[in-house]
Amino acid sequence: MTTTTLTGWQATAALARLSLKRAARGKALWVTMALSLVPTLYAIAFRAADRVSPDRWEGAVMMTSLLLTVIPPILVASSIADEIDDKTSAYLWSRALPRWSIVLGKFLGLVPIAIAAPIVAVAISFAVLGSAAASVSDLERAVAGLALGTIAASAIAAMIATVMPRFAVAGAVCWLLLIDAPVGALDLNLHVITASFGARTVAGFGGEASLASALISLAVITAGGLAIAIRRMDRIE
Amino acid sequence: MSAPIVVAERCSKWYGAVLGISDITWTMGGGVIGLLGPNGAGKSTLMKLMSGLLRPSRGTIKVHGGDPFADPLVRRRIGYSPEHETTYDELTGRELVTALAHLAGVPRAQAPAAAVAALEVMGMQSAMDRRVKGYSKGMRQRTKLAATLAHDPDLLILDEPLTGVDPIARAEIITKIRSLAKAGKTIVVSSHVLYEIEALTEDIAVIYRGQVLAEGNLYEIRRLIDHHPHRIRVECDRPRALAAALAGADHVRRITMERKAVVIETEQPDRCYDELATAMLESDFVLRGMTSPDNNLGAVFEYLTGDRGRARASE
Repeated sequence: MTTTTLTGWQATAALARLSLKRAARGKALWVTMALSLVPTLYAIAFRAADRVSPDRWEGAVMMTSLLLTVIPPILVASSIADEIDDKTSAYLWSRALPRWSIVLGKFLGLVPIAIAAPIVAVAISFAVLGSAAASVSDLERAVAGLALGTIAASAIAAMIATVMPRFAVAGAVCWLLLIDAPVGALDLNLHVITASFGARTVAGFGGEASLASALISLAVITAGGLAIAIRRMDRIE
Repeated sequence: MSAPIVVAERCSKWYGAVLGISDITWTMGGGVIGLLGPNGAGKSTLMKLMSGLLRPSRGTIKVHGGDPFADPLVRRRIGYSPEHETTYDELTGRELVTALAHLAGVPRAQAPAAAVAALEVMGMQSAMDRRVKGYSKGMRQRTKLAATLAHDPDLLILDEPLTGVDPIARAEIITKIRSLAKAGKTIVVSSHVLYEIEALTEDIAVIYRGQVLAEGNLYEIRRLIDHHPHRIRVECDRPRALAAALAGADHVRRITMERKAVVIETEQPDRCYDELATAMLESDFVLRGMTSPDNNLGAVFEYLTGDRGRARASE
């Protein structure tokens, strides 16, 4: 048998497939699916009461954006932290892999699920509320905002998982819910450091904030979160 | 003489203020080497340093001439089986070993065949399509060993591979490890139970308080240990009946009852294990677990740290 050393990207792809397979069989996927029903129920309730308006669409998108504070911690933070805390990392670290591939592999394997949940939720809300509440372009912006916001929130969750693996999910939820979301809602320039501000602005609910600044903010948060997570993973023993 | 496979030079490892190993200078050639020491002695730390999971706080450790922490090419030649039994429980045995074989460098197309071959070597072919979640401890250990073998490494580092497994699985794993050694693998295996190491090799290194205290032939150490009582804790369906069956044996010093278990203190562990096995089979006991608390072994290590012990061990 011939063995080789995987390149970092081959290892990343292999770890992404492994993470996706594990997530598809774990409880986190069911919790994610259950949570993504909440905004849908909101839309259904207003539709049933015949109180459909653009405000209801904004409410549905804002409610969906709250999923960003829970789903990335459940999927990404728990996956990375469990690897460290349950010591299964020993199987990976003793193999000929660069450690950065572990963070990136898990991130790339799990972020598609994390993105799918709010997107499906907002798409169903759109279908339920109908054209009286929002246009297709509104839906497109909401999908883009939620997708990019989820990527940034997942990078934050990955960072927190490597910094405090024992309390990763609670720590990431606290950060995203109690710091990121309130600061992102402030009418201060400080809000650019939050994923929630970027997501809301790209989704079309950022007031006068520019789309470019929101996109840059999300890119910086994602890159910074992943860089810290990779650096931490390199140092963990 | 072949080149040494592991060379540690003044190697130390601390976890914050806690000492893992201290100033170890040690060279290991081929064959099967047993690392023997009580819990917390530093065996796992030394194995993790060899496997590239940890880097030394001071000094160096080289495996096949390279740094296992920094050099993936070195790690490719190592198969490490950790002490803990946690794995990816959502996967089947086949999926787990396939994934880990691929991550160890087996090309993706060849990984499934390599995994099946390794699982067959470990006798897991009939259960390999079941999820690991439902495996017994013995099956988990065998699956971990299959994952360690699947990429055909030169050096196998097995941390407590017999911990928690039932006697039948233990005997099977011992047979497999010995056959791997015969096939030319270099194997480092750790245990805090002398009896387990004895079944695998005569070449041991005794680790205690982070240092290699003695190395060489097992039997000299064994003679010292036999001077001390040895405790065996057996969990079974009828502990009182088992206690009664062994109560008359002359080597048994004391029997203590626990809830669902019996603890036997013996001066002759070999005889005691033999008689336990006989009693189990003859009276159809259902064995749930067998462990050897290391308190008494610890006492021997304490003894070895004394001048008299050192002198006798080096005789």
